[in-house]
Amino acid sequence: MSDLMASYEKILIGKLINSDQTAFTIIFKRYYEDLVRFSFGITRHQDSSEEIVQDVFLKLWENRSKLEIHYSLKSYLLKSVQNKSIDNLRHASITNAYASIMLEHPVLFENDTENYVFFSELANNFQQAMEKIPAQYAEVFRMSRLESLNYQEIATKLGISVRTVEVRISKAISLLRNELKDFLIALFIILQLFHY
Amino acid sequence: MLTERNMNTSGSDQIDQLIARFLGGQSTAEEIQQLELWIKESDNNRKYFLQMKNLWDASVQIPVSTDKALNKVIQKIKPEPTRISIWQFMQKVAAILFIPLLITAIWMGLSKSSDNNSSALSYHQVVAAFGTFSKVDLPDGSKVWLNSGSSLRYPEKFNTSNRVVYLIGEGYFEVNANKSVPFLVTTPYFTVKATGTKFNIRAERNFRSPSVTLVEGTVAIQKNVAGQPKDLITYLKPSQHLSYDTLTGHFNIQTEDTYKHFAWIDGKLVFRNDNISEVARRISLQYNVDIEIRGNEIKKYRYRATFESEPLGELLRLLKISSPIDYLEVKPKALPDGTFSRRKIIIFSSTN
Repeated sequence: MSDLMASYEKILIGKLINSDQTAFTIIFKRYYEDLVRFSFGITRHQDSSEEIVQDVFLKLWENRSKLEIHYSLKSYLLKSVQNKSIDNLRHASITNAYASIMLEHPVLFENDTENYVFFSELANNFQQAMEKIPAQYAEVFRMSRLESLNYQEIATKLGISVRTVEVRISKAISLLRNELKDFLIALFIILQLFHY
Repeated sequence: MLTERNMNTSGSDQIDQLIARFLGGQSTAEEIQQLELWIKESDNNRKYFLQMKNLWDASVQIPVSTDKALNKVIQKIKPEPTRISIWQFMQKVAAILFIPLLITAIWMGLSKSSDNNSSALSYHQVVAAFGTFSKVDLPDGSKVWLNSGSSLRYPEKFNTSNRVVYLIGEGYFEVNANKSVPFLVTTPYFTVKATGTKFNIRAERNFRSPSVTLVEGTVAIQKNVAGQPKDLITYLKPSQHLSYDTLTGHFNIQTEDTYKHFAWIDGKLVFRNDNISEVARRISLQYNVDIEIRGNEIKKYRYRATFESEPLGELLRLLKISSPIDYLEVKPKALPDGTFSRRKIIIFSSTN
């Protein structure tokens, strides 16, 4: 697989292995936020997720000389963050109901790190997709994802039932997934064809 | 690819609601089991669920400060005994995008220039190796990013009346303001005169349409007469892009989103209504490969795309699935002198 790695990324990794901190900074800035969101999907705890991702980067630097990246840097980082996030949950599982449910039902919490798409890779198309779906669905999705409100809070704010919120959320994700289908498959890509 | 595209997308409302309840943390134990069974039923179900969850997890917006986090990590990094101050030094130059992988600095000796003022200056020449780019700090504090394969010649010390540098290829300039000492970039096609501005120049050798893109300030574009700048062609305003058609001799100015012209300094490839020749040219620079385009048919397609650190194979695959083209790769050949030829990609129309 390594021959598929972008030469740009190869150069960055090469610099990193040679202790170039500027390369480290570039990698950090590029992936940090997306990785925190990814980890948050597992831990549901922002501080823990930030610590986890910072730790993964610290390890990346400390172990740079024996770094083995087989597929891509992104997939390497995702795997590391995923492992650490699950470890973190194991520790929390004694006191945390969410953590124990998750550990009991791994199928529901698994992530396909090879095919995972970051929000930053979707951003432009995500905006367009949000405009395409009915406003009442987009609204609840926005309230949940951008304003971090739970279903109960959304229901109260809009004066509708929790059940209605659930229905609208389900419509929103399903329609968004449909709009973004190609991008969720074809990694990180924004490509359109124009004819004269 | 095809199976995923044809995958049952509706999932059924009932399943969608089950997923939505799960993602919102509302599921009962029974519902969790129900969902688990559904996911295990087929690979398509599993993929469907994973994409819904991916979309949900990735789109959460939580307030994160990347810079703060970076500082925290940097402080935890143990200083290495032999080079304690390097990290601090690197922080100071953190704004730098790239340390050149390979800079060949060639001592040029005395200049043959007839300009009295600079006749005694010695010159440096910097060449950015193929597949990478370099950043150069000039003696006056101005900064230049040199794209892959480009070269810049500049004096060790600027003289007092002007600052002259020579560019072949592509460079992005951030010129330090100094009204009384103009900054002149001479290319094989024209000279760009600035006082304190940001601009991008493309002037590869044997290039059909060299260009200048102005980001900030103003610049004057001048004709080269026997290597010396002379007549004014035009002034450029911010966001203007000037291209020079070397065949017709026409200059064309457009006002547009200029980012695509210098996205390369961020390591990105940005195409906006660009044809395959331009796409190929950029890919060739960034990935250090030769690209040959066969057939005129495919030249009519226009591309709009943003690539960031894409592996070359992936990038080509995406071009292929989104337009009627195909490609094949010619493996590097061993040359008689023991070196290898560059990797080559041939792009052709897949419709005939």
